[in-house]
Amino acid sequence: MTVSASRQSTQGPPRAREPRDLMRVKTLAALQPCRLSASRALMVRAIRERWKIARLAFDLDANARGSAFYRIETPKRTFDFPVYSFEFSPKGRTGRIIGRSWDMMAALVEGPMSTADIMSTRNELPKLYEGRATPGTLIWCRSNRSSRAFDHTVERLAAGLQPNLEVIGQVCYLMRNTGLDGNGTFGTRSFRVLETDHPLRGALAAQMLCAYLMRVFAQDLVEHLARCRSPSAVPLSRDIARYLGVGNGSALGLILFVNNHPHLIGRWLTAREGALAAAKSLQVAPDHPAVAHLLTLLDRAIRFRSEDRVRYEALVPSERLAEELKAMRDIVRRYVECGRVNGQRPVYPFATLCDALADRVLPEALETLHALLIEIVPDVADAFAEDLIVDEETVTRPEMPMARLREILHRDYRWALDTDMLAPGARRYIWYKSANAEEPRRGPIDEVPWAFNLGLDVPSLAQAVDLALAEFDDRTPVARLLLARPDLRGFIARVQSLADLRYHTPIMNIMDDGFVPIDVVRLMNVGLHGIDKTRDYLNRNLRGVLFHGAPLPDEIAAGTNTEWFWPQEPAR
Amino acid sequence: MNAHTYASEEVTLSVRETRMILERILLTTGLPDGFVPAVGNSILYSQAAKLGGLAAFEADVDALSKAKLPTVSILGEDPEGIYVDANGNHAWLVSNDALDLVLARYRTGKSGDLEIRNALVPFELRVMEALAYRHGARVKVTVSADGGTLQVLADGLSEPDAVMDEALRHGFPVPQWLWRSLYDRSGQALTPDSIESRRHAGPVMVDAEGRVHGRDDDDTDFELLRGSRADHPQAREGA
Repeated sequence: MTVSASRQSTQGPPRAREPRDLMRVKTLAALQPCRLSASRALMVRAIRERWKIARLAFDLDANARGSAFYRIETPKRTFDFPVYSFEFSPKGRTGRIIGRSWDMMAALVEGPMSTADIMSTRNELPKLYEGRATPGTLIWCRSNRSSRAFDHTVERLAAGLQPNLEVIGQVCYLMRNTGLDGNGTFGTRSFRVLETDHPLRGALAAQMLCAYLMRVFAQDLVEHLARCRSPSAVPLSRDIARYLGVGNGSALGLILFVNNHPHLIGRWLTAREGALAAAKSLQVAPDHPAVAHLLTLLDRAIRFRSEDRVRYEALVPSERLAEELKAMRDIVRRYVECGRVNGQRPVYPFATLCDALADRVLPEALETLHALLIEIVPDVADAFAEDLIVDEETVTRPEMPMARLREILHRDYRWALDTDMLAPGARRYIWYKSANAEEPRRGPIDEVPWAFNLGLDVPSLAQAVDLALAEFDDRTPVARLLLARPDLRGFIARVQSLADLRYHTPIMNIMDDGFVPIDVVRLMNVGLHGIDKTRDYLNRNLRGVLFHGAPLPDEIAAGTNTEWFWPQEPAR
Repeated sequence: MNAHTYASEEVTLSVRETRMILERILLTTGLPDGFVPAVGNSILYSQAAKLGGLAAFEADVDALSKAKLPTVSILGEDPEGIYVDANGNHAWLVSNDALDLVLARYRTGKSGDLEIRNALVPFELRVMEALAYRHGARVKVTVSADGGTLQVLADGLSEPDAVMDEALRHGFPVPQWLWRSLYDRSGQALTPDSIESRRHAGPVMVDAEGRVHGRDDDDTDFELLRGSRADHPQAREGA
């Protein structure tokens, strides 16, 4: 298998990849967690600023019924995290949002919370869809146990033993996020107007802090339940506690999210490619510390993949990636030994390395190398991450001449204009939400002909705009087209608003029966969120682990354990 | 998402919630999909500008379903301005087009004046004063018996959309009955649940013969997928 990559190392400083290469769905699906992924970026900031996470209350019975209260102190703000815990029930349980059974619910609230707000949250949160958040609330969230790993861990701790890696290593978490609602939902604060000094202002930061706190609570909960069973119970070892992250399940809703958040996608990919280009632009001699650092990081990645116990369905198995990473490491070692990559003495060794590998390794392996290279330029990456404040409003530019709109359309949507929408299956599917829990679904149109389509059919819209433009003189302002074709107004506003971004729209026809939803879910979960060990289900759902190996609260407060990702399996 | 019971009989809706409800209802009126966000913005900015807003929408939603497209016909254009007929359409349907036409003129060196006739609920043409903030412009609307005039006062302003900023910060306080009424109506844009439809999502699937497809490492309650608990109204929304 081959991948496309920029090959400019012999023609000047490396640049970011062209959209026609990067925006292919198979390339986006192969992106790996990196320093710019939301979970990792949050940890960078939390460790740098030494956030303090304290458990102020923990009032649960032996069946897990009760409440807990956590406080997060950052240099500029305090946040509270009241948790409501419930007894495990198998009824109505599913990872889908149509589920009705949750093991915990919690709120992330700007604090310190008043007594009235604590009381209100206690009353409102369990109602979920019928409830209403207090004004300073950022997120309402809920999660479920991973029963096998959770129960096993409680049993082992109660017996004075640590959990078996054979069991917990198959999922690497105790509880899995089953819903994070914020940014206006249920009356939560709109993220766009968070203050400039707000530590959770960056894209997805509030959601990631909630996920981290779910992990903290899950570990406190297993220790509590073990103690309730036996006075001789032991706490989780710190190595295992660090190894256990928090689970996450995602599905079709993320394809709609990508459609509806082109600015976020575009800004994030621009940041990622910018950091990568900065790393590739380093002119490093074989004895430069950055080369040694890359070798250390490759060792870490190889070990992580080699130790992976997760079973994958369609995705690349970790052992194969480990082998390819070993081959990469050999090339870097040869550069250290003889100063050559692929037979040449490179000006930009990292760029030459990437170019040499692009056609020889799996896309996931190449993107692993890219993710590691970004670690070589942490200051550049962190500056990009801090700047990810995004506004998704799209506005028309009615004075734009038709010729300019056509130029943008042909430049940015060439692939869409070239898509054969008359081909069999090209329009087979529809995207809709169910009346039940508003679950995003995708089905053949003939099975749900009454559904309102919510999917963005980019090829059809681009072709329709192109056809409509032919009816107008080049100098006529777009206002006339907007007037003549109200059905195209939304797409034209989108095209105009995104004209300055390079990477906003994946190259995909989501209506086609050949479209594989999991590819775009991977972009979001693995790339943007930073989820490891993602397992695929029916090509449309993905489950994996966030904060796998992340520092424990006391390590964050001490500002330590900065290079935590892709952890080594704990010693037995 | 739903009517709330927090502290009073008024509920403060976020921009996100308001948009979601408006766009869902508008989808059910038969307006073209691509036109829905713009009309939704007209209503949202009407609410922000303390015009008719959501209450008027709840009362006038049927008028929107009778849209005649294109929303306006150009009657003429001269150095003094541009003249359009709203074809009897509601002001919310014509506001975006009218604003685009006048801004296009102004930005190409012509006068920034537009006269609009034959509009339904002409009072709501004033929403263009609020919508202009989206474009970095300021306009003045003078309402007449069946229309109004629009004049560009300023353009090219770099500051953020103050109308949207205020709405994002403080939301829209509305009576609970209104929210409930709109929320319930918006449900018509959602697809009725069925066992077949449940196969269109999820990590595992139960086919018509009851066979499970996919791996289940989730402790799934399969009754949810087989249909004996097909409906549970308390569950409504998720990510």
